[in-house]
Amino acid sequence: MSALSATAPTGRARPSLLRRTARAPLPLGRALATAGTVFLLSSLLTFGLGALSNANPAAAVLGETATPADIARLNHAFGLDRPLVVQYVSWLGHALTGDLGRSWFTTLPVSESVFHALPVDLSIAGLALLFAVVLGAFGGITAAWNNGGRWDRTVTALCSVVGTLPAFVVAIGLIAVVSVKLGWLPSGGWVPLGQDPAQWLRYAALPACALGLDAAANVARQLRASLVGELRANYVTGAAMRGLSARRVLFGHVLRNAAGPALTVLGMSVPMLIGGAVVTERIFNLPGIAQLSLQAAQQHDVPVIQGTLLVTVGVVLIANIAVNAGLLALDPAARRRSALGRAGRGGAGLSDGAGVSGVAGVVGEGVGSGPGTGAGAGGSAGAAGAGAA
Amino acid sequence: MRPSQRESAPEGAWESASAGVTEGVAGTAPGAGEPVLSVEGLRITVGAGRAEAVRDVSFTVRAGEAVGVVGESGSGKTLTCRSLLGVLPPGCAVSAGSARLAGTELTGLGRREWERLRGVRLAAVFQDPASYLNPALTVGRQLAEPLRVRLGLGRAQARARAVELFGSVGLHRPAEVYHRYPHELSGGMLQRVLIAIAVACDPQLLVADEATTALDTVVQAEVLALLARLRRERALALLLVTHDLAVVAEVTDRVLVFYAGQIVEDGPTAEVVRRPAHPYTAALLRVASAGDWHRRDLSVIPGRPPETGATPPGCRFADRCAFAQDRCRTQEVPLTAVVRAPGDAADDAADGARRVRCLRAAELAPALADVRIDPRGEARADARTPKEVPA
Repeated sequence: MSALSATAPTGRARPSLLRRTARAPLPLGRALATAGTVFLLSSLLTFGLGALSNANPAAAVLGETATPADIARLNHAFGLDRPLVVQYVSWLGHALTGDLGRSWFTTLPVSESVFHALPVDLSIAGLALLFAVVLGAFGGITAAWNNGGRWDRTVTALCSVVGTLPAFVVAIGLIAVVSVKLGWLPSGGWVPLGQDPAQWLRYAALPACALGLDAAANVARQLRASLVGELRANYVTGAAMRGLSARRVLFGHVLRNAAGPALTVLGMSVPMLIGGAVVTERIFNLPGIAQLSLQAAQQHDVPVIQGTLLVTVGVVLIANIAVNAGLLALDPAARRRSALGRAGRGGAGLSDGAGVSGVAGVVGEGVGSGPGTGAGAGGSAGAAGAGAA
Repeated sequence: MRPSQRESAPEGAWESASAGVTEGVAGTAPGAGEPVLSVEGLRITVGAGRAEAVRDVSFTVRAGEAVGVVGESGSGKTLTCRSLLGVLPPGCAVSAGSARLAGTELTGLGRREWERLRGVRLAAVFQDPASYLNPALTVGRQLAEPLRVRLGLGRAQARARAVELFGSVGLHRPAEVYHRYPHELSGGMLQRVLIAIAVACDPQLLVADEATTALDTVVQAEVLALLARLRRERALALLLVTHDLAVVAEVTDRVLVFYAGQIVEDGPTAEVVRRPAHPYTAALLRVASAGDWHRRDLSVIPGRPPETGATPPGCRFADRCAFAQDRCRTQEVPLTAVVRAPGDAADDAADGARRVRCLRAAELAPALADVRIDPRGEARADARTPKEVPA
């Protein structure tokens, strides 16, 4: 009998160890496969849109006086007289090696324009993410600590209000209050991060705030809910019975177990933040991807539109994979809990949906070439993705 | 390392268990230990003060003494214990009375004062040990943490001490157990882990709330033996809450029988078990000796206890009592000293006192005395392995 109880732990540990090593790469592989498929499909869609638009650089550049011979010559120069399939394959091949072609109007390389515009959106999205983590964690933890109290109700109410407001409404509200009324921060303009970080922060703070508030509210709400649930668990009483202080129990024991769902919510919002940055950027008049693609759309500058769309899709997908990898790195704790039959494998599935919906939002924004429709499509697709997962 | 672990293996523990029982039945030298816990007139209300679930409970636990608390679910035994640990469920509160832990008043303590007491001066083990451990941390870390925080040990010291403690509670290969997560250990091992954590900072009082209920019979006996050994080695005051009188008979010196929020009988376990003075105790004993208590609970004692907070006049057990008379239902029944049989009278008043809450205790004594319980007899042999405890 004593021998039995002695072998019990090793006997049980072995299969779980096996499962751990065997299962670990699968979710990431699935995420990569999904991302690859989505990228290919959206590149096809992007290229198809350009082809369907019937926009012709020769007509646009040469004006009304062009003879058919001139147009044919220019078409040949741009490679537009080849079959569409050949054009697509060569475009995608070049795109994957970093060559997105040249603008029909400025003849500047598209990749160069994108290279200058993208950091604007990425840095805003990054700052918004930081904002969401800090504010969300603070709100969630303090509300759970004050469970049922006045502060808890205040946070919950604020989260509900903020959660229903689209980013552009928050952005306009922030401009009206913080820059126009109080005059604390500029309502628009841009200084690159590499040039002057302090000035960058001044210009990026409001857009990031507008963008991250929604994610912060979601994180706070999720963290509060799981903390409150987790605080009722017996092991909290158990830890308290060891004489550990309430703060130590919260931060050392409860938070790590309750953080999973909040991190998943945060991970889901990363692609949305990048998509949303494009919208926010317009309102604050920043020289980012949205400005580039909007200008291109008005000029029927197809290579630029295609390039910006493809790059944005790529960035969102890369962010999605990074989120998946991050959640996976945090997963050992979740897997241990699932061994107890509690948590599932929701993390990877959830962010799959978010990735696709985020892309849908970005594509919608680009096609509609207006901030409003993009936000709508992204928002609803995101909600659908979350619901489906 | 292995030979030394063999010595602390359950085989040895079995012997120490029987030693504990003999000692318990023969009676610990009365008055040997200082009172560690004295509870006086404790009242606990539930539902934010609307109903009283524990009424006027008084008892004492001395150093090195094991006191059993028995009663059905809802009898107030768990609430009483939780109030002593400062972990009453929401809506429950101590409304009157006092509980002193070696001079420290426990009622009305603030959060920080509780934090200072727990672990170091009082500790607890509960039913369902798996749920009282953090699933995401190794059990070793959960034992080392209080050692570091409360006793100020260094990382390596705490770890060595933790492994040592795991060995002392009869866990095999303690150095390996240290790195296990709770879900990798069996229920009996987890209860040993919880006991190791509970005694880590050398508390004066250990509350074991249904600590062995969910374990199978063999493991239950091992854990009880372990508790008995720790109590002797560390002069630990042990409050053992259970609804199983067989468990109480096995390891405790004195027993408190709870019914509907009151103590209906208390006294030295050996005497109470041999000659119950309250019809409810007698009924409990009949259940225990009839075999598996879990299955026969309500079929043997007909009726059910009054609703929590209901205050029927007179004896609260009257409706289920075979001996109840009209006067039982009209007047409040006090807890009175029992006139003791000549064979029992050796003990001095302080420790050997027997009290019963029954108007007819004296005249019923012969009728109730034929119930016997043999802790290792039928009750043990016949018992199934209860996987789940009825609520």
